[in-house]
Parts: sequence; C-alpha cells; structure tokens
Amino acid sequence: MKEEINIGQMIKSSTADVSVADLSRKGFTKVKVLNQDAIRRLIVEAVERTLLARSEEISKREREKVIGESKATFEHLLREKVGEEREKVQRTQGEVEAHRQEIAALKAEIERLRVKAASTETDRVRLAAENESFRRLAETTRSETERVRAEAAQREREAEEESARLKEDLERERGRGDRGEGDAARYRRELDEMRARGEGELARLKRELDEERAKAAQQGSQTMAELLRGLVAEMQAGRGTEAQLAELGKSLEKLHERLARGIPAAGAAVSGGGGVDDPMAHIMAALLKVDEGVALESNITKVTVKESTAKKGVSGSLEKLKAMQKRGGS
Amino acid sequence: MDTYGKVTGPDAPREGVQVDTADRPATAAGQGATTKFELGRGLDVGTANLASAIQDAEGNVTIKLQRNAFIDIEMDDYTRNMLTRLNVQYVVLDNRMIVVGDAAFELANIFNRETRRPMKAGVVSPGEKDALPIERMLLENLLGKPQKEGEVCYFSVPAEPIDSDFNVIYHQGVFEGILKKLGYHAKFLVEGHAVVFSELAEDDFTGIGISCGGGMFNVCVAYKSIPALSFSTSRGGDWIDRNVANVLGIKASRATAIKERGVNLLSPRNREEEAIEIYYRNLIQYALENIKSRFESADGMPSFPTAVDIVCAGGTSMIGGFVEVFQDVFEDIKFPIQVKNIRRAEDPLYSVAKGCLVAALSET
Ligand SMILES: Nc1ncnc2c1ncn2[C@@H]1O[C@H](COP(=O)(O)OP(=O)(O)OP(=O)(O)O)[C@@H](O)[C@H]1O
Ligand SMILES: [Mg+2]
Repeated sequence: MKEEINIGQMIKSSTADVSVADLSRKGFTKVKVLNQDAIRRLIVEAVERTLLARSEEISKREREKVIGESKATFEHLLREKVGEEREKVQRTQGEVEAHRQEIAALKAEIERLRVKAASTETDRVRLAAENESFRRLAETTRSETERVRAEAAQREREAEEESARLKEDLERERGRGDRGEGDAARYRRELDEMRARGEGELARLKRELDEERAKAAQQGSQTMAELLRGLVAEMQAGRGTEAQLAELGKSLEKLHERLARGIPAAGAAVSGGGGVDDPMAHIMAALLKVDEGVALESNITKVTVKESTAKKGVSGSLEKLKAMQKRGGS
Repeated sequence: MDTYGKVTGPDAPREGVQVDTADRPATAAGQGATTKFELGRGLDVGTANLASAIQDAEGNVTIKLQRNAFIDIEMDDYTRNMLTRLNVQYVVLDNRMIVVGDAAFELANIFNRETRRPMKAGVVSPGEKDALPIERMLLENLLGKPQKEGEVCYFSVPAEPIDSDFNVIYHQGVFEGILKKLGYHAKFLVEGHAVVFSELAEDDFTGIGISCGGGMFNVCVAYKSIPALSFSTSRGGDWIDRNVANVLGIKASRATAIKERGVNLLSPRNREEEAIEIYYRNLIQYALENIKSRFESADGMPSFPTAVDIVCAGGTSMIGGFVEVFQDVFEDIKFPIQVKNIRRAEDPLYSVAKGCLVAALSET
C-alpha cells in the first residue's frame, strides 16, 4: 500500500518540543517514547482493516448478481430440454404409427393364409382328436416311467448316503488312529478291514442300483413301445369304426389296470373312485397328506417375508404386449 | 431414455402397517395397508429361489423372494420361541423343527451344514420326501390367499433340457396343484419366455432371453413375442457351488455364500475367488456350446431380418464381470445367429417373476 501522508511532517506540526530539564522540573521522572515507525504501522493497519471490510461487502453483492444470472441461464436450458423431450415423444409417436401400418399389412396376409387354411380345417380337427387320445396315453405312460425313475433315484440317493456314512466312519477311525500312536499298526489293520468291508458294501449297493435302473428303463421303454405299436396299428386300421374305437377303449382299460396294479399305496390312498391312472391324483394325494398331517405347527403366519421394489416396473412391457396382442388377434 | 416402467428408489415407501383388514387378503400385510394391487400374480419357481411379483395401482412392482431351501434342527420350547422372536419361519414336521427360506441358508452357514433343497436342476426333487409340504408352505407365505377367488397366477417352468432327460410334467403338476389349493387359477409359462416378456419389449419381444439360474440355464428364442425355440441346459449356480466346495473342501452352502458376497470374475482376490472364476468360465462355455449346437440342429429356426439382442437374467448373471466373460467366450464360438448386444437384465433376480406378472396382467 502506498503511503500518501507524510507522517513525520504531521507529527512535527502537531506537537511541541519540551526539554528534559523542564520535564524534570515539572516532576516527570519517566516518559513514554513513541517512535515514528510504530505510528506509521498503526495507521496502515487501520486503513487495511477498513478496506477489507468494504471489499467483503462488494463480493457479496457480486455473488448475488452471479446467482441471479445462473438462475436465468438454468431456466433457459430447462425450457430447451423440455422442448427436446416433447419433440422426441412426437417422433416416437410417428414410429408407432409406422409399426401399426406394417402390422396391418401382416394381418391381411395372415387373414389370407387363414382362409386358405380353413379348407383343410376339417381334416385337422379329426387329426387333433386322434392326437389328443395319443397324448393322454403318452402322458399316463410317462408319469409311470417317471415314478419308476424316481424310485431308482431314491435308491441311488440311499446308496450315496450309505457310502457317505461309510466314508465318515472311515474318517473317524482314521482320526482315532492318528491319536493313539502306539496302536498305530492295529488301527491301520482295522482301518484296512473296514475299508474293504465298506467297498464291498458299496459295490453291492451299486450292483443293486444298476439292476434297478436296468429294470426301470426296460419297464419304461416296454410300455412306451407297446403304446406306440398299438397306436400305429390304430392309425393304420383307419378312420375309427365303432369296432376299432371299442378296441382302443379296451386296450386303454388294460393299460389302466396294469398301472393300477403297479402303483401301490399313494394312488390307493387318494382315489376312492378309481382314477389311479391320473398323474394329478398322485400329486394331489401327496398334497393332501400335507393337509391331514396333524395340523402342522408353524409360526409361518407370524413372520413376514422381506420385500423389495423392482428397479423397473412392467407397465411398459405390458402395454406393448397388449397392443401387439390386440393388433395381432383381430 | 427409459420409456418404460417406473424407477423407484431403494427408500420407496413400502414399510406399510402390518394389519389384516377384512377387505384385504392376508398376503398384502406388510405391503402397506393402503396399497391397492392389480389382480394377477407372477411366480418364479426356481431351484434356488422362489419369487413372487405383484403390481400396485401406481405401477410399482413388489417382489417377495425366498430361498428354496430348508434345514431341520432339534425341537425344544426355547428354540421355538427364539425363532419367532428372530422373525425366523419354522414348521414342525414329524417331530422335527424345520426352518425354511433365507433363514435356513443362514443357519446352515453358521452351523457348517448343508441346506436341504426341495428342487434340483430345475424340477422338484423326487428323492426329497419333504419337498411337497415345504414348497407348499413357502408358496403360501410368498403369495398368501388370492385377492379374489380364481385370481390368475402365472408360474415359471423349465423348458426340456437338452443335456439330460427328465420331463417337467410331474413338476408342473405339483405346482399347479399347490396353487390351485391356495385358490389361484394357475397357468404356466416357460422360464426363458418370461425373460423375453420382461426384458425385450423395446425390441418388439424379438431376441434371445436366457435365465441363468441355480439349477439350469433356460433359453428362449422369440420372434414378436412368440417363442420359436425353448430349451434348457442343466447346469447353473449350484454346479459352481458344488465344484468349488469340492476343491476347497467346504460345504456347498458356504461356497454359495462366498460367491454371492460380491466377487468380480475379472479380478479374483484369493484362492476361493479364483476357483469361482474358473468354474464360472467353464459353466458359460458349457451353456454357450450347448446353445450353439441346439441352434444348429433346430428346424424352423427363425432367420431374423436384423441382428438381435441376448439378454441374460437370473441370479447367476449377477456376479461382477459376467457379461464380459460371456462376451469373451461368445467371441470364440461361431454363433449361428447374428447378435447385436449382449446385456444383463435390469433386475436379474426378479426378471422371471416380472415376466410371469406381465403374462398374468395381460389377461385382465
Ligand atoms: N450376487 C450374486 N452373485 C453370484 N451369484 C448369485 C448372486 N445372487 C444369487 N446368485 C446365484 O444365483 C443362483 C440363483 O439364481 P435364480 O434365483 O435366478 O435361480 P433359480 O430360478 O432359483 O434356479 P433355476 O431357474 O435354475 O431353477 C444361485 O446359484 C445363487 O447362488
Ligand atoms: Mg429360474
């Protein structure tokens, strides 16, 4: 900061000189001496403080001005953006219209094909009926095969569990062997024996399982093969005369009988009025057991499952799908 | 710009007062007493998770999710009280206490045991004798009673597998039966098709949806919403868990927990994560090769006029770096269909339930 005031001059002009002898006569024994530099510093500091306070005031005004300007710019940008979005929406609507037209053309084509197809419809209905009875037969057989397979799987699981148990025993024995060092040899011998026994057992279980599997596979394929043979014969024999239909009914009944004999407890428990052949019956039986099972004790209704909200909803997909269905279907 | 659906933040109000009012079904308890829901439910019946979806009047989709698992523990009064106090569901079956759902998974990890699983590789497990009562209970809890007798509920079923042989009729029947008993009009939807419904609207429901699940990968190729080809391959997240558990000498439930903790396939941090990365790559390779050969053998494969998207959904797609690894493997395979983008669904774990919900709502 520049010093524009001559401090020395000011001091000179506003003070009077007094000699030390005069002072002492007047009784002053001590005087405080203020040098010129100290005074100058004090003045400079005072000026600086004043200036600083003033500049703060200025920058506050400045800030408010800048904020005001930014706000205006922001509002302008916002208006622009909204305009853009609006345009985008309009563009999309145009595209949707184009799609609608494309689909209308496709629909016309489909209609044409449909008319053409209608002439063969009668044949198709007959075939469908035949197909349906085939499907039912196939399902019955499949469920039976499934059951046999499930049994085999159960056995396999048991075998696996058995082998796991044996392995665990072995492990335990091995652990013990480690601890008793003195008896190590004896333990090792016992261990070997056990392992041999375990492996023998495992082999036996495996064998049984394989036999079971083979049996199951054969049973499954037999019924299926018979079924197919019967069906082919049926088809070849031609267009469902009374006699042939009766024949088909009989073979169906035979199949049911065989299945009924093959399916023990589960089926018998539910059916009451026949219907053992229905795979759904087995399922319902199992579910029924759950109901009857001595009123299950549970706190399940007292406990709430945690929920979350999907990041993205399904309304968009839903609207689109509905629109497509509407256009495609009418 | 996201034209579809409504994005709701994690703090969306769904605390709700938990009371049963006369005009509201028990299910909606916990979904807020004032919320009104549209008729129609979506249900994802999965090997690892069961998920239900329902939509409110504002278009928010609420999801309830439960692990499809259980564990039995010794029964006594203390445990019984404690479980209820801890908000843990149990049921007593043949004098054993059975804890179901997420809590079963947590307990298994604490006690270093395996959970028992009602389903295996996509379908209800014939060897698990407690499967049916457990499934029924879990569903009852997820869905509650219908809002109206005969409310439509679409549930997912796996497509026929190309690498193993079982059929889904029994499985389908079981769930149809359970839902019927609860009072719903049950209808099924093939899992991959559900992914198409929830993820491919912007492509006119044309493209390839893959649900990468716990038990399987379910694939659906659709053209204008119509499924042209659906099938499944029977390896999924469980397969990874089993193998990782095997090499590390830990329980599979433990491996699951490690895997779900937030691994990035592109930067494994330790031995466990390395094992996970290796099996993940293997799994994706296996699935893609099977998909490719199925495509090459398929009759009537649609030749799309333009390249299509592949969308991956399902919990197994949630791991960090999944899409990158998928792309990596994809590039090494000569894929018979022109593909534009490979991407992950927005809500991978909810995608199938949402697709089923779309199917249900489209009927009302
Ligand atoms: N964050 C995560 N990271 C990695 N994997 C995960 C994650 N979350 C879940 N998973 C895995 O995803 C799988 C479950 O996914 P999902 O719920 O889609 O399968 P699912 O529908 O039950 O099975 P499926 O369709 O095969 O019958 C499990 O293997 C689970 O461990
Ligand atoms: Mg699934």
